Amino acid sequence: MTCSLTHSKTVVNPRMARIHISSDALEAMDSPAVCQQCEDHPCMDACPTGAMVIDEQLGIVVVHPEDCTGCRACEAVCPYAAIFFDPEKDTALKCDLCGGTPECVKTCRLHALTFPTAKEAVIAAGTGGAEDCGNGEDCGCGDSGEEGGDDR
Amino acid sequence: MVGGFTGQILNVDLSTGKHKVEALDFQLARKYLGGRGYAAYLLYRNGAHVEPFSPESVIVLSTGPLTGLPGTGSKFVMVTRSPQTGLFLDSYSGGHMSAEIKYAGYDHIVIGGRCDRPSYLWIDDGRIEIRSAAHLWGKSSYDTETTIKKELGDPAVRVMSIGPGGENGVLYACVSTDYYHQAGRGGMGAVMGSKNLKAIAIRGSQGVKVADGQALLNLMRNEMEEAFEQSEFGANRIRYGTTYTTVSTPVLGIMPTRNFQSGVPENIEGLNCFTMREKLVVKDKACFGCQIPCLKYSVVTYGDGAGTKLVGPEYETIALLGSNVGVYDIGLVAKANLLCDLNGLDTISTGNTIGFAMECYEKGLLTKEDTGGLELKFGDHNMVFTLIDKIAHRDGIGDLLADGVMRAAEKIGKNSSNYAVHVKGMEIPAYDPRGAYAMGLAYATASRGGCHRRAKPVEVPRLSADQYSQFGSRGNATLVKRLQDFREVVHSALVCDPALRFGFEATLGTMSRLFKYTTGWDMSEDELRTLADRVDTLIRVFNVREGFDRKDDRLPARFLKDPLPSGPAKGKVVDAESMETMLTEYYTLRGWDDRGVPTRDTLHRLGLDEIAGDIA
Ligand code: SF4
Ligand code: SF4
Ligand code: SF4
Repeated sequence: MTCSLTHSKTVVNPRMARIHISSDALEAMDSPAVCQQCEDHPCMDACPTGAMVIDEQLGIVVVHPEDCTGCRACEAVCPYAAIFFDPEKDTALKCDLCGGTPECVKTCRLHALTFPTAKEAVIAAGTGGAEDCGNGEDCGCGDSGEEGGDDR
Repeated sequence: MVGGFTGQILNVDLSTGKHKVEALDFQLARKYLGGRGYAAYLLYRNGAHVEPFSPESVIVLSTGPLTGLPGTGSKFVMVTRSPQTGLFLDSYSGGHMSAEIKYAGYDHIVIGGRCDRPSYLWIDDGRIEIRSAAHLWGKSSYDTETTIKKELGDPAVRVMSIGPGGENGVLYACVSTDYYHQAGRGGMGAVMGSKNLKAIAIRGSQGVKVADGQALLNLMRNEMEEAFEQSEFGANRIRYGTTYTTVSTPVLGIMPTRNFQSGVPENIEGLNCFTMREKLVVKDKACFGCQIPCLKYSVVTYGDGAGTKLVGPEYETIALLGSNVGVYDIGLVAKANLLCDLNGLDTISTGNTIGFAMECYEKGLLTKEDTGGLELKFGDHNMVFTLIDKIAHRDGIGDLLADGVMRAAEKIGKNSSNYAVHVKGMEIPAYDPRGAYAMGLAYATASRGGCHRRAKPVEVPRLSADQYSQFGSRGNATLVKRLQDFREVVHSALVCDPALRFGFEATLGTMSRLFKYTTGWDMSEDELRTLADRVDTLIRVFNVREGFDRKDDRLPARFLKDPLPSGPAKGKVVDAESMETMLTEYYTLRGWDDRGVPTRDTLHRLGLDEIAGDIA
């Protein structure tokens, strides 16, 4: 939620997020996927249109949606399954570190997300550092996305 | 543009297979918000005396303006007229479905009619399809969910489904979603079953606008975080979830034991939250958007429960399928819980009903002849497992029990109704009001019958003895109304009330700000209080229209006549005088007359003039 809201300013939509969590509910396994900002950026190398470029300031790959054709070459090569697609425009979405200070990290109350330095580009979630993340897909932290709140 | 809402209501007619999208009425949304409030309006408008199992009945599936947004855990509610009680029924569930409904573009989904054969409804944003469920009929809720996800080719699709219990019209059949979440009470699953509706699958890709995203994020990250750090309950809520209540109710002597024959469990160590955490819990989980992962993923590795994996059991389940049936091993309770989930049965009503049957057997009111040779003995966990299966399939004695304790007692006759612990046909959950009279008032006035979700004043009277009386009437009407009103707002919002109360100790002031940042509306605390009163009164009018009034706002005989045998509330019954006094005071606070019927003045004050004629 945080990711989509931050990038759009007004709209919450987990499908627009650049971090997703996939869950196997029956086994209670939650795996967050987010870009690891690879030095060798296979995604950019695979992009046939030049829609992916290195951001000078952060030194990471960012997407220029106006040049993206939605071919999914980047998705196919990303080792971390960290590229998603805008459901309306069908253009690639990837983590841009919110320009240097990741907003999701600020939201995660359980501190499953950490962010040592911008250049290291490690959101620990993506490397399996997320044992604390109790949330399934689309949680408040992960952002793809009786009495309990249930009825018993 | 108002934020928070999607602005659309989807109407689906299962008989014709047609659907139509209707615009949300923002004036009504300001009057009722969403969730319980707006759904009550939609159900009310569907008319009086609608047979719950007829095609004319509707299920209103609702979210609210805060659902699926930053703040706290999201919920949805299903609303219909209960086949178990004939009352207004609202059943809530967490998980991720609630947010998905919003992202699919709907604030509410109204489902009427009846499919001519087993079917499921597939809502993919604006694409609506009724698909065959021939291959799913008879399957457990887990298998149904897994199969539908597979055949739709997307594990991220959200599914709510019924099990055999709902198919077979068990009057307390539930609806399951995300495997482990249940809209449990009042027979919502049976209403789905009567419509030949095995499941609803939803996928949404649309966004929801908010008025002030940055303020919303700041409130959630900073203030709520701080409130949490200072919360008395916060840490325990995360560590133990609802099961922490196993610490408080035995101390008050109000944890149902052997069909409410006692409030002091014989061996609480076998069931309490510490044992559960140590023996079963392997991971904390959360509902969509929740920062307080109160859900406990449990795995049983020993004994007759071995192999059980589920989220739970929750406190209510531990009490009703544990001490109430004489079972004192948390692993066995977890297994009974799983069996209820797979079969699509409400764990509260199931445990209460099995406890009732066991007491009837103990007292000779049910014999081996009635049970088909089964010996219904307290403490026999295998018998509990067997009965769950029989109830879900209406097999043998299960057929009698599938209608709940009120109807079973009518059929058994003799004096068995003395042991049927329900209000208006809904089985009582896990707080014995003999140790906290205010809880008696909460049960008597809850809109759906024997229910703890409108107000749960069990500890407050003891802790604030200067304002309320634990064994008497003083102050309790005010307390119950205040707690109910807070939930009217939160359940219309619609987010998790335990997360707000036990996590952030939130107040109406917090709610008011959450509404401001999401919808853009300035809703003062006073406006919210009036809204709460309006929703509560509208639902009361619904119930009065169905013939309910003061004569029905009663507690079961057990709480009035049988003194608790031990514990701190030893010797107590809820005395008739206290009960009548609390009721009269409560009606007065609500602006209802002595029969518990909202007065014309009250309806006028709340902007409900147009329905005054319905109860004249
Ligand atoms: S999108 Fe994938 S391949 Fe590209 S930098 Fe990120 S993790 Fe590496
Ligand atoms: S989907 Fe877009 S960004 Fe990815 S490779 Fe194709 S054009 Fe480049
Ligand atoms: S507090 Fe528990 S029930 Fe409520 S939303 Fe959070 S995880 Fe769900």
